[in-house]
Amino acid sequence: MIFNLTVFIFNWFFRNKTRLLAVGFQSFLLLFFMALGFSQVPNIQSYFPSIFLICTFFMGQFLLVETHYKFSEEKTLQSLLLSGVSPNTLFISLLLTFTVWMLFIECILWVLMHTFFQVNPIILTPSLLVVLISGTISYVSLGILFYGFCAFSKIDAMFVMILFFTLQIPLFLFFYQALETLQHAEMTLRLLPLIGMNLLFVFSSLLLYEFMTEDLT
Amino acid sequence: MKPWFFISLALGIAFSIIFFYAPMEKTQGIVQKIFYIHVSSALTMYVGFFIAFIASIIHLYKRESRYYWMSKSAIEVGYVFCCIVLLTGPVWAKPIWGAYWTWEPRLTTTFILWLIYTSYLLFQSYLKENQKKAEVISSIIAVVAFFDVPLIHLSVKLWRGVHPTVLRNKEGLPPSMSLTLVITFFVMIGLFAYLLRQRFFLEKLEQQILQLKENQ
Repeated sequence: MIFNLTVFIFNWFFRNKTRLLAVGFQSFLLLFFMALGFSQVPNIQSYFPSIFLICTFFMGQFLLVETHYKFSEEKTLQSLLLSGVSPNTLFISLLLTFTVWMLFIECILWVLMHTFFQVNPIILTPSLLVVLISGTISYVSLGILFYGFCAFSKIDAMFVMILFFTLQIPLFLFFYQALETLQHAEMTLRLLPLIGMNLLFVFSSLLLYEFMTEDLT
Repeated sequence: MKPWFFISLALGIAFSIIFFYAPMEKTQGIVQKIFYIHVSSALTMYVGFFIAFIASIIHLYKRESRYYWMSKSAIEVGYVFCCIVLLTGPVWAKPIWGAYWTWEPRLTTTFILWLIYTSYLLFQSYLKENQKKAEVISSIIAVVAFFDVPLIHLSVKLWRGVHPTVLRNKEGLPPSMSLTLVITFFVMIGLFAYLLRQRFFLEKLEQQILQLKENQ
């Protein structure tokens, strides 16, 4: 039963070779950059933010890819736009939906990770929530924009995955730093660029989504 | 005078100034001369990516292909300067740090910048079939990619590394070295402008040929 379920999940995740290649490439790069981490503490707890981010990244990636793959197949976004929904409304609704889902996943992951790594008592502090929300919204807003390319045209998701990943690296580095310094006094210093990036990415994605939908629908 | 001749002459003068006018650095010796090429190439790279960013925004508003050509050309030429930065850096680092590469914040973030624009160029080659879509998508990517440039610089401030920051340091360079750096920078900008112009006209010709083929 467990074996069959594992095979089923793997088949669902890695449905084809290109996806396997894209996931492999990204996981290698992500692990590589996270392992660098600009941190010198060699204990398992120091890897907690990295592992948390890797899990979050893959969860988000699959959520975004699968949803936009379905959108592309059924031309959902085009139909919505033709029915009179404005691109801004569509973008914000997608952003809210994905962010809520991602936060839900992250909260579960946070509890699971704390259980495995036994770092601290399980407390979702306001500072942690600010870090999670800022990081997630930036990630999701760029994701909607980039996977929109797949939904509105016939671009291979693998190219978008690679492109999306490289553009996300600075965001991940800030996200990682904010998570790593969650308990320290210098956390505010790490949080400010993350919030700034959040605002920048959300507003630019909102504007660019409108430009994209103008020509690609 | 032909532009290429003028650029070659300016490059020759710049190299002469680097080797014969700029003083020899006491601790680093001759290797320090790479500094002038390395720093001016890095600054030129940022200029290139900034031009691409502005051109992409104008393209998204006006939807005129010439702005897209400008953006694409600026990224391609800027990318060449990014490669020069990544190549001259290790050559300079080996005798000074004892290693070609260290995973120091500025080096890592410059490598990330290189990765971002590499994926942009990969994506460009993939999008050739539908020109209109390709132009819009490429401009969007160029805009988002440029947002990472200041973030990358901010990250360098946050993670203190071993990379020297002479430009922000008031007592960093003696006047003769500063003058050499400024001259090299302007020559690099001249080279960039020349390459950009050539690449832009090449892109224009390419599109004209494509249109002629379609009309046949």
